[in-house]
Amino acid sequence: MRIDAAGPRDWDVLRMIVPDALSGHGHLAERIAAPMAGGEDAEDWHELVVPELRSLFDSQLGAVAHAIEQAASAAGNGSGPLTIDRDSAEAWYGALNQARLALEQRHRLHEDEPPDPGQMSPTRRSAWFRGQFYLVIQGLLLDHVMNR
Amino acid sequence: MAGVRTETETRDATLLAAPWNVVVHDDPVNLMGYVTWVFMRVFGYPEPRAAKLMMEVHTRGRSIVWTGEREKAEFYVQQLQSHQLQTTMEKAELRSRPPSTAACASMRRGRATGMSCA
Repeated sequence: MRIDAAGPRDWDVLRMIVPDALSGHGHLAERIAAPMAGGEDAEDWHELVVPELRSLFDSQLGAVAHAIEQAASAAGNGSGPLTIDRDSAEAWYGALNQARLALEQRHRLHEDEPPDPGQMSPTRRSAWFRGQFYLVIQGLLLDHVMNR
Repeated sequence: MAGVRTETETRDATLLAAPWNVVVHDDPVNLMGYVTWVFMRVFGYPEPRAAKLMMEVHTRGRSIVWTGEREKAEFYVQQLQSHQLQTTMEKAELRSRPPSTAACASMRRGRATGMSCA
């Protein structure tokens, strides 16, 4: 799959994926594993599973950040392509999912049904549109790369 | 009291072998197609079954996606969490079936089974 960036602003939008993913309260690994914290094996889960989840989620963000900077650099931060191949599709999907999970946690974007960006504060509206952009990329990845 | 010992051992074994449910919970972020894809990938379910479980998560808020031994349930929870799905595990309710007539006859002869007969 190829994303054609038209210029510096597009690269900046893509660069928001990682900070958005890190904007949640606490690391995603802790949040995902939290429901297991009340069980009999909570300590084992925290010691053995959470570090693995943390490592996986961090590696997804690292791969995406690297790919964006490499493509932006090759394009001189101007117009140019960013290619997502089959091997890196899951890392991209995971990083985009992390970003959307964190945006949802931070801004409660689905609290209003249906969500109305026109009534949102500028910060929340901006988060909403980024989330929708990430969602579109995820849909394309799922339909055209991961499911093939 | 050989009969009493037999009953205790039977119940202990039942508790040890008690199955565990792997439960996936709904969230407003994960795409329905992705959840289906994860179920197919992690459990090897065919698409219709994976899609049915996904719809159950979506409409009921949660779905028991697998039931079995504890160690394997923990493995599946970890796998699903690594795909960023909200997942927990819980002890499966043991649904006791009424014992057969032969079992009841056996109980009356003093061979305990741990089940009750009407």
